[in-house]
Amino acid sequence: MAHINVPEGVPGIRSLVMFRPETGKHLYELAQVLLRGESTLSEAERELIAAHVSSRNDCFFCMSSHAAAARCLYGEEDALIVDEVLHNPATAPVSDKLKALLNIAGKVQILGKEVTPNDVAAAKAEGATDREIHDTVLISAAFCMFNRYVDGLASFTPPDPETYVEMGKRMAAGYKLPNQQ
Amino acid sequence: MAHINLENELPGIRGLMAYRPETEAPLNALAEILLRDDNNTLSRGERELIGAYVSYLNDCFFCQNVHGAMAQHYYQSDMPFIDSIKKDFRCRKSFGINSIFRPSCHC
Repeated sequence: MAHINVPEGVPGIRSLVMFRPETGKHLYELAQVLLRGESTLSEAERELIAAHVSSRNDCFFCMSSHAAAARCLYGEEDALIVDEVLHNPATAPVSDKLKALLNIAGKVQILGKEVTPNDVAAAKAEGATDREIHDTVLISAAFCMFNRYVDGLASFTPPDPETYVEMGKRMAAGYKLPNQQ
Repeated sequence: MAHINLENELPGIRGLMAYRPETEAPLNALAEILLRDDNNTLSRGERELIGAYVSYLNDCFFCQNVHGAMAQHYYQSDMPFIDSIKKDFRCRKSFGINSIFRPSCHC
């Protein structure tokens, strides 16, 4: 049960933004711009960064839901990429550029100052642009916030993986503040 | 120097926000609601203090100083007061009786 009185049975961050739509509105806008806005990184790649950071933060809700969204966006044929990245980004079948960005994301998850000039140079050497590096760092930082928000209030985390499949389909379409109950 | 070319000389998050206005908008709006909106039972000073304290724990020099200075302004205190809270908010000496931070030490 959640630490505070949020709508019952509503999972994860949805219950929290329904409790406080004034902040929820901007949180969803941020997610929408970062994960669905115009970018040279695909939506699937950005969801993958989000799922990777959430996994490192041990946030089961965010990891499961964003992994589901990433699987949905990669499509059935490539869905297993997501599981391979969550298992070990270094050996996953993704581009070297995305590996370098996932490395930066992992550093941000520890602490901002863990990102070194070498990490950034490695990403640039694989063709990552400043804007892609900026967005990778901001997606990672934002998910550290979302993860702590969701788990810091002990929001409802469905244990059944099937629940997240449907959630992923909805998320693939975009982030929109849920209606109030 | 920043890891990427921000094309401006602004300090801290302001430089990042000027670089990417699309993400600046929700980030600024979120900070405004969380830290400054007066429809809140926590004072602006208390909320800035939470921001400064977490930034201190994250070892972020820019954020802990900016939000520490904001807290200092709202509390009408001096910086040693803010620093003492960052170092140990449980210390009785740091707080007045009405603080949301419940002093738990006996020093």
